Amino acid sequence: MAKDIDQLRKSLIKKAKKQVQEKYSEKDVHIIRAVSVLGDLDSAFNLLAENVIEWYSTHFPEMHSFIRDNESFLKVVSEIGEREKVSEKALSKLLGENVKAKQVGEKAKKSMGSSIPKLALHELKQLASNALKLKEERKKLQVFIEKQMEKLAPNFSKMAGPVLGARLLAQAGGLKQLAMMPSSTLQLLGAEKALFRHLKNKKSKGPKYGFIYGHPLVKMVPGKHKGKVARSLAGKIVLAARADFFGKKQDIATKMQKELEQRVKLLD
Amino acid sequence: MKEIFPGVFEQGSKLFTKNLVPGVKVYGERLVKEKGIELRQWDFFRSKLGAAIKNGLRHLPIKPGSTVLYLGAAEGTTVSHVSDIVGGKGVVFGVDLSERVMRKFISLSEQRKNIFPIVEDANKPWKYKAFLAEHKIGVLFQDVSQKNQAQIFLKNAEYFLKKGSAGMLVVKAKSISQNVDVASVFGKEVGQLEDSFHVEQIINLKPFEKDHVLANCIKL
Repeated sequence: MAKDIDQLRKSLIKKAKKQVQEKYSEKDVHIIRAVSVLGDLDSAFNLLAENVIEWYSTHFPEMHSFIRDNESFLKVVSEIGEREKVSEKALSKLLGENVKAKQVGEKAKKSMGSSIPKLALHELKQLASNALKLKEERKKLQVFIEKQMEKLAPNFSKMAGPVLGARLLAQAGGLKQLAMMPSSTLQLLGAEKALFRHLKNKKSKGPKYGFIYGHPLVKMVPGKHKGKVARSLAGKIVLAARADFFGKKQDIATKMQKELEQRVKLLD
Repeated sequence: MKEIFPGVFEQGSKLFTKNLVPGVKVYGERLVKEKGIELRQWDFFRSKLGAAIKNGLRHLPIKPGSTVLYLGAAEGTTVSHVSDIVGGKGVVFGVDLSERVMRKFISLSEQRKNIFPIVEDANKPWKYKAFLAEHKIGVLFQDVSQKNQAQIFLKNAEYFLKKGSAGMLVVKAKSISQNVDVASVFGKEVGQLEDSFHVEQIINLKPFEKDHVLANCIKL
């Protein structure tokens, strides 16, 4: 008897391990992990960039007024460094032609910033180049997500956009769950906090959109129409997910996209 | 050190169980030696059964040698203490669906010879009925955060519990409704049990868990 029960335990452990393994071999696992990293990479980069900008501004505070973009700013810090070396020529060489940086050299000379010790500048340069590496990694990751989404769910990916689609996929837990989902649920994925706040207290208004807010079509229309567009878009995205999960992956997204654009035009 | 239930010890305000695998911690708890026996401290902020004992559970059906069906095993924090109590002659079947928490639970069951992992949905008892076939379940313990928690409990009780067996149900009010008054949710959920159970005691798990009660009952 005791032997039997040990046998049962061993086979149950074996079975459980196999089930976990199967779950981890599903096609969407890597997309879900990757998109979660993507969000964190963005916030990590922005956090580091803010710090670099603050630090570098003790040396050359004027620079932030003509280089507003975090990535370009960090490039200048890591590649050029001292404000004495920052010139119009050097900037356009590093960042391309369209740099609005007239009289940078002049500004650098008259800067209200302090001179920076060599060691500190070295640290700062290191920090900037490491942050830029994160940005590189993010770009590669995005390409990976785009490719994988295209393979896993071409219609869904086209309808929602690959990165937004991956976010929805992660939130839903998989393509199957997305395909089984009512479109009103998909519309609010990512807005759970606002939704539950609304359910708890009717005084706070219910959300009209979650992640879907980031879709170009929703972004494009004025505020009063955003809710409508989000609703139509959610409907089409769910249809696309169903086509991908249950169907033979024939292209239905192109047609639906046209229909949606038509609908957006008819608003007002 | 006082033994308040078979296998459960109390010293001051702290609870302990006898460590089934001496020297090994499960979730970072404190290990204490007492007269050559190693005890594991039971963190009642992390275990609802621990919280219930702390809040005055009168009768603990889980005893040395019991066969327990544990629904909602999660990472096995509470299960590890149940496994301590039932000891080498007892058996704990732990059911959970999420592979994320099962990773830890499977390693736990490899360490502890009385834990049996089952990756299935507690909502579908027929799926794991076959594994339990030869084992008479003495205690059904359930801690799942599902909207139909009471139904899941009743369904499993129908499959596995005989008359006189014990059932312990943790009710999480926030899984059922976000906006209705908590007390009425508890009343409604526990009320559903009354046809097939004798409800012995209802324990609020405040302040260790918010909006939770544990119903200790006997199958009719």
